Amino acid sequence: MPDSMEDPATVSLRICLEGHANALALNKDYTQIAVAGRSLLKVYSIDNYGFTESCNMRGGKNQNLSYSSNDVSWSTLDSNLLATAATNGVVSVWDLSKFGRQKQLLVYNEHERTAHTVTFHSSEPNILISGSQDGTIKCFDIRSDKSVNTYFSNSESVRDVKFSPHTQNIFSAVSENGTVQLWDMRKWDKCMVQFTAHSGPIYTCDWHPTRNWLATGSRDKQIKVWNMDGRPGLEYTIHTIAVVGRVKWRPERTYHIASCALVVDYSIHVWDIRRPFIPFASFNDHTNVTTGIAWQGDSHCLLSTSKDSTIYKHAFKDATRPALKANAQGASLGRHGDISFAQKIKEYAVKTSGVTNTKTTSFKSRSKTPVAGSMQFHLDHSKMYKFRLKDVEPHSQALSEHESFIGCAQDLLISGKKLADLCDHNADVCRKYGKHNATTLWNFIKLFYGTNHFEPPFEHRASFSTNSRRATQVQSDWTMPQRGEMGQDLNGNNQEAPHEIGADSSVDIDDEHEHPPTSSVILSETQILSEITFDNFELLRNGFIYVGPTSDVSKALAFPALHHDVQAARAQVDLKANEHEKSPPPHVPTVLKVPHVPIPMWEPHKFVADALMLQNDVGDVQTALTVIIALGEARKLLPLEDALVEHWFHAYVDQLHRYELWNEAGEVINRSWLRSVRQLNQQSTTMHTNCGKCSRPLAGHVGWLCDKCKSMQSAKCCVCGLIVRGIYAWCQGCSHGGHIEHLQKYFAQHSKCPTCGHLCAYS
Amino acid sequence: MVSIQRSLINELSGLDSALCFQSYDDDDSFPKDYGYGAYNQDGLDLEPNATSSSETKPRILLMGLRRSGKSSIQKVVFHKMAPNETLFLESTSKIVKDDINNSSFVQFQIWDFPGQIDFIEPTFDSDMIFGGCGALVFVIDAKDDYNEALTKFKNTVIKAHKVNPNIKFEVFIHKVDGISDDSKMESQRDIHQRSSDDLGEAGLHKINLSYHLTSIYDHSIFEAFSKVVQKLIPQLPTLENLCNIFIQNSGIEKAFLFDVVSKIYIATDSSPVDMQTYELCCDMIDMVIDLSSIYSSEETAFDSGSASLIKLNNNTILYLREVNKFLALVCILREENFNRRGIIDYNFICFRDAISEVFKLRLMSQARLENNDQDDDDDDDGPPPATPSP
Repeated sequence: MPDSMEDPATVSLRICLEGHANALALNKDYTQIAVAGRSLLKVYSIDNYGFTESCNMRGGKNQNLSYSSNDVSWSTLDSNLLATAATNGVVSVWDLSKFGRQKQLLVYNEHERTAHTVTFHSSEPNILISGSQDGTIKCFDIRSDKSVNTYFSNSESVRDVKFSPHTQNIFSAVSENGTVQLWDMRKWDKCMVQFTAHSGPIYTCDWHPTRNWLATGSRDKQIKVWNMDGRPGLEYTIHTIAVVGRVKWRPERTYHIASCALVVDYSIHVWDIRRPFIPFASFNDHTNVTTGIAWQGDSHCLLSTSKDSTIYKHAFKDATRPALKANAQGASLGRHGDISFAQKIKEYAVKTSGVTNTKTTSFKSRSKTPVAGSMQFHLDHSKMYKFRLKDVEPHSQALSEHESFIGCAQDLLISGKKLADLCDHNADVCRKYGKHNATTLWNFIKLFYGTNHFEPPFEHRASFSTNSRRATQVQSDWTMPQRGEMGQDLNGNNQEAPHEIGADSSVDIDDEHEHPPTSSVILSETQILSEITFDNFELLRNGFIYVGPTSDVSKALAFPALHHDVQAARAQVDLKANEHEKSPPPHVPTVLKVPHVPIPMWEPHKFVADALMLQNDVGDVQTALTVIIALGEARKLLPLEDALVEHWFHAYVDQLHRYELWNEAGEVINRSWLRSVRQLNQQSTTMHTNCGKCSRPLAGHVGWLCDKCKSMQSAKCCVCGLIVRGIYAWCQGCSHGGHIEHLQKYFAQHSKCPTCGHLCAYS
Repeated sequence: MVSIQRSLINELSGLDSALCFQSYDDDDSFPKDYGYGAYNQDGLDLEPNATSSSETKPRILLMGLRRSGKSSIQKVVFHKMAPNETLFLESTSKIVKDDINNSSFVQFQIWDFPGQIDFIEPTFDSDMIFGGCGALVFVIDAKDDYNEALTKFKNTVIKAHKVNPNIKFEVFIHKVDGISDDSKMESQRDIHQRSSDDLGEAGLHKINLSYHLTSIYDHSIFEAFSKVVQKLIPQLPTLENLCNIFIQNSGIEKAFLFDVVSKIYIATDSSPVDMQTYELCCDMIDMVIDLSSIYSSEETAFDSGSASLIKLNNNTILYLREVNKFLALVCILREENFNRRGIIDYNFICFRDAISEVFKLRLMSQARLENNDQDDDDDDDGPPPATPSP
């Protein structure tokens, strides 16, 4: 290991190759790398500054198919011996010490179909094995020109074979039907062990250098680690995001394994197998699928080839660490209003206590059950809290569905108060009738929309990167501490002065120095822009506001890690509100992001609309529609189609009618802003009237004039005899009626009709 | 020999190819040299007394307990039934023979057995059933208790193996759409373990069993059937090699040779098959067929002019070309490689010619086989044909 010892801090180097590279192999000293591909078989020597070509075995223009290699392997003992496996099934052995054509020492044309993999024995210099699509594994001895042994794997296709470093003569073979086989080289008739490892084809395997572990990677997007002592047992499972192409254990690190994907994902990930969901480190340099990976002796250099025709030598210190950027907190809301909250213990204990306090304010009482589950990663501890909302009222589960519907219909308020109060009231109503989902929804509505007066310009948030923004206002804001619960007030103010900034952003900075603030300074993005070069504009236009001591601001901006930080933060913009307590990267102490400022940019509208649709889908159109009505003008922010809302109106009104809740239905119709719904009140009630004299229907167009007997008798009150103006009460049985107050008085004493003696039922 | 040649010409004259005659006239020893060894070895030929051409097709048997989904599989894969319509299928009460000869390469019969028939009974003609059978697909319902199925499977395998040792056994662990990933794995392992134990007890260690996790609600059933059919195609190595050569020389990522009607791929290059890629290609075929059946002037939706090009927004291109009446080649490639479309098209023509050559040889060997049966004097097995390289 000559190079990496003296200078492990090498940067990634890159050279161009012609054509795709399918595989790579390192010689035993890790000084040379062989790269094989479709029209390519080259050897490069590796130095600290790059690669130098030392041998090209595909000179000239001969398009012999036997050279189009799928895999390449370097003898573990002899630095001059190479073997390749070709797509037409040919396995070739090359001797680098020879010249010209004689370099190709041996050609075994025995596989019927594509040879996928070839590998040398770890201690016998003359033995190599190859696996092929035809389901066979062949063993060759380079002293003979024919295969020595053939092992029939009884499967469609052998994708990878690897010799065990722990037991001589044992090799593993993985195949497309998802099985792993262990073979003893000397027993060609039957494999020693066979077991199903994956539910899809397995494409790669690798033995752990020190432990008796075998890692397998499959199309089912998992890497599995098997303990091969005795009966094979599953030790670890890693879930990746794409089909696993190759895996390679990291030397000198027991728990680290590198993997690359076959499709979609171009990066190489190094996993800590004890943390199976987030890669420990990633190399994102390749621009096409990575096809081969190898560690250069020690654990600090990783070599890789890719379909983008490059070789990279990655220094491990240049890797990105996705695990560090991961959000270490999580919170979730239960349907009864419970909150669970998980966090990393180590660094943020103080901060999180503050967070929990703010959350507790909206709850009446709770039982705190800390450390419900304490999960242990290899270094980090996490803690889970569960806050339970104490039941204020006994569960009213005895209510049947229609009872709660009627109750809610009568009690829910849809107007007349401020939205926040409406929400509070309605949440209580819903809780009373046992609709906890709806309660939660109302609480959310209150949180999202209740605190603010909604004006139409609120929509300007939609495009966040419109950069004319509010330096002066921000400044006035931090002089008033703790403004706005969700930062919405801040936003509301800011829109007033959108155009002043461009000219005087430098003035602002001076202003800041005049105010020696209590602890922090807030900079708007325009101010930052004025200080740094224009090139960084792209990085900053996502608009973060930085907090820190004033004197440190410029220093912080010059800090090289800033770019890093901004990139990390950019991914966070579209996170949900729950996740907004992002941990600041620990190595940039002077630059902090204020969690409150970027987050208001998150718009709940889509989310709320989805929630309403869901309510409707589970059969609760009542809640969905009531929320929309209660929102008032703010409903326009929700991305809901008018046709859908109209449908909800009709459905709800129809339901109310069925329960004979005419008043509630009328109220809902009155509150509608849709013409077709409003018309319901005018067209749906038809009264058929009769003439009081001849009992014929009053079909005429002139009010109470009867066409038949030409009498206006019906228009008169049957108590006082005068013509009725205003409300006319009327008995459907005998067609007599009059002033409502007269009839009220009359029927208080009598039970029969004043005109005909009909037993009218006045109610 | 003369009589054989004469009848060959008759056979081929139905085939519209003038080229064929030419090459045939040039080379008198043609029938001898191009005998198709693999064809006989792979157990694809039948009882010696088979005469009619329909009997010479290899058979795929679909077996399994009742209500395990055999008829649904057959309907979905070969009759384009929508998966959710299979709910309404009646249970099968007699053996349903289905001739799949929509593609010249996929000429075989599927026998859908009703689950309740106990075909192990002595009255059942097992020689007739298993004799000419190329592959036996045994369907096991993964959602059900599979003890009974495994017992039946064991008996079936023992019986079938006795009659026809060349038979290929495929186990479809079916209806896996309804179970979780973990239990999928678990049942596959369990079924694998127990069935191989069972067969080991019966002394059949050497039998090659393949297991497939399938569901009619995604493309896994198509892929599993593709694997089954591929094993019955003796020319598969040649076709695969042609695909390899084609994609390597054209800068293509992946190429499938599709049977257009059933959407199973009868060959692909040797790089790993990605499920999403396969689904994309399937969908493309559907789209092309649907579109051209609306707008084409002829009554056939797929003809020699059929070709399609779809650009995806991730800089990849799907490219479909007709190979012959039944086959289409669907490629997936990166947009920058499509700059050299001329080369790709040229290579494709070479590829198509090579395929039709393989196809011709197959017909000849088939014709020869029939003549052999009549004349009973010619039994040479030549080497497989040289691969035509573009």
